[in-house]
Amino acid sequence: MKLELGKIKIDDIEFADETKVSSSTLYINKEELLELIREDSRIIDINLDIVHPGDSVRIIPVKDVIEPRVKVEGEGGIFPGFIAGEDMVGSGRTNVLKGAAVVTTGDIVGFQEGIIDMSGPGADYTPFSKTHNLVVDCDVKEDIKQHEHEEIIRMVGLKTATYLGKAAVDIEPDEVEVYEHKPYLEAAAEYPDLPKVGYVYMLQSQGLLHDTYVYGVDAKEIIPTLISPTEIMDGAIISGNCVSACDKNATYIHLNNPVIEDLYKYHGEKYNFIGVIITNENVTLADKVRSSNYTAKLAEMIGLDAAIISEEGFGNPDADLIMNCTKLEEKGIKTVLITDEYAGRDGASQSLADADPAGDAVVTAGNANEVITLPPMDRVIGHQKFADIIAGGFDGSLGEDGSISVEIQAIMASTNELGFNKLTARGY
Amino acid sequence: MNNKVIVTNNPLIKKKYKDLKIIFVEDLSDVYKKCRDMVHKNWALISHPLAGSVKPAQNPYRSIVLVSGEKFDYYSLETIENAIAKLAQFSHNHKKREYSNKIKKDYQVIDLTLIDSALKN
Repeated sequence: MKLELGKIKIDDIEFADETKVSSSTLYINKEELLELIREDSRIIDINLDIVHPGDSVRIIPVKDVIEPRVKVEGEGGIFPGFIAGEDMVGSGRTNVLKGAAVVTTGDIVGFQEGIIDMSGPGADYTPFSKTHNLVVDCDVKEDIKQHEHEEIIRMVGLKTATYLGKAAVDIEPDEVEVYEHKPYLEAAAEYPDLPKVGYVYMLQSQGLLHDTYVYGVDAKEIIPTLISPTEIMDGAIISGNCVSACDKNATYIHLNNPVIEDLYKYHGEKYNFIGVIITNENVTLADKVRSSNYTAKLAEMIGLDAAIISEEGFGNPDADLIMNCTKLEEKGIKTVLITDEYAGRDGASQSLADADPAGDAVVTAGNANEVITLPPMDRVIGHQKFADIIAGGFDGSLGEDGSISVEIQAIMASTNELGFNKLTARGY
Repeated sequence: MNNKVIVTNNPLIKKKYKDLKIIFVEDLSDVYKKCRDMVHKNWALISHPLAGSVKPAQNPYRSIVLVSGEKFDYYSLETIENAIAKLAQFSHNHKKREYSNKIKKDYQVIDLTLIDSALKN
């Protein structure tokens, strides 16, 4: 499978009479878009706001962030199983509005979470302060249950991103990157002298507000499987995960998975990047045992010498991470783990809820318990009243002046475990 | 299902799983302690004691499913002890507070769906 990613640079978004891309600006016909996304009768109201890097704006609570993309050549369409049909994606050409993002917000549950500050010290902790964002704030009817509410907001976000992506159909990209995933036998034969490296991509899948979807299928229902990295770039994996803002993988991050990008970077030079195994993070120990057994078996079947394993979330998934690690290592497959830490505010506590001596190569994305004070912003989009009750917030989190003291776990992608952030720990 | 039990402080679990054996306790930390004591008496964990990605101590409601066994399960003990340590660490910075009824209900629903997912399999 060969995918060309056509990147169209966007350095401004404006509302206008027509939705189009011109001179690196994305123009949006607000009324046309609203008509499209309001069609669900369970929605009462939708507000659209545009925010830019450097604005004195706080968005809270953020549910998902999505990058607008469109399929211009090849089989299938963006977000298969939700927006497009069941055709396989990952081949042909996909255009991307690079620098633009759709941000969804809404009060699904009382303790919803996720902060994006577009300026100030908090902006340094989230990659989504660097994008031009269309913020979609969606209110639904009062009697809507939490899981329906999540689904409505998820679909509104995907529809909005798809609508914006269509503006990129006929635009000549500023840059084209080519990614190819060959059949396994062919891939293995191509660089016989290089170590065969794979990627075990763990997906949060525990239930309400903790879900991820693959081609529209709830990831908790899958057994681990193989996927082409190019399929992921076309939206085969999307997020329904609203919990743990700092280390959940927003749809935007799935589309731009930096582990995959970096594995391609030195493919054929330092190692042979063979492929991706996706697996889930379920509730029961039996599911965890089965999924990790199956993951290790797949890794062996495709002949891996080594694998990178990334976790999503914290706590219970630490058990999945360690099981994946030990079972691959038992088969002689070297592992490097990517996680984040909850080591207490002083950094002195045990970082993970599980550990094993086999996990001796670990990359950390930062300590989510670190505390930060975010100064007041001129404008708040969403619901700042949640500041006291978000994860990482505490009594008195919300100051009278609108400042917020929180652990960085409240900030979107601050300790993202795919490395879609700036934090790490270094030894000196 | 007869040899399974849910240890919980979540009223929604009590309401929904009327046909299952339920041990209802008052407090979050009691859920963990009760499970630890049961593990010492040859019960094994079915569901992981840490809740999804919701931080320990953040959600005041917790339910854990166990099954009775013939012998002592060391992995269950290690897992519940690690969870108790994490709960203690997170409780340190997370003052107990009175949530509104809506938030309480939301937390109960989150816990319930995790258990629904565990019992489905």
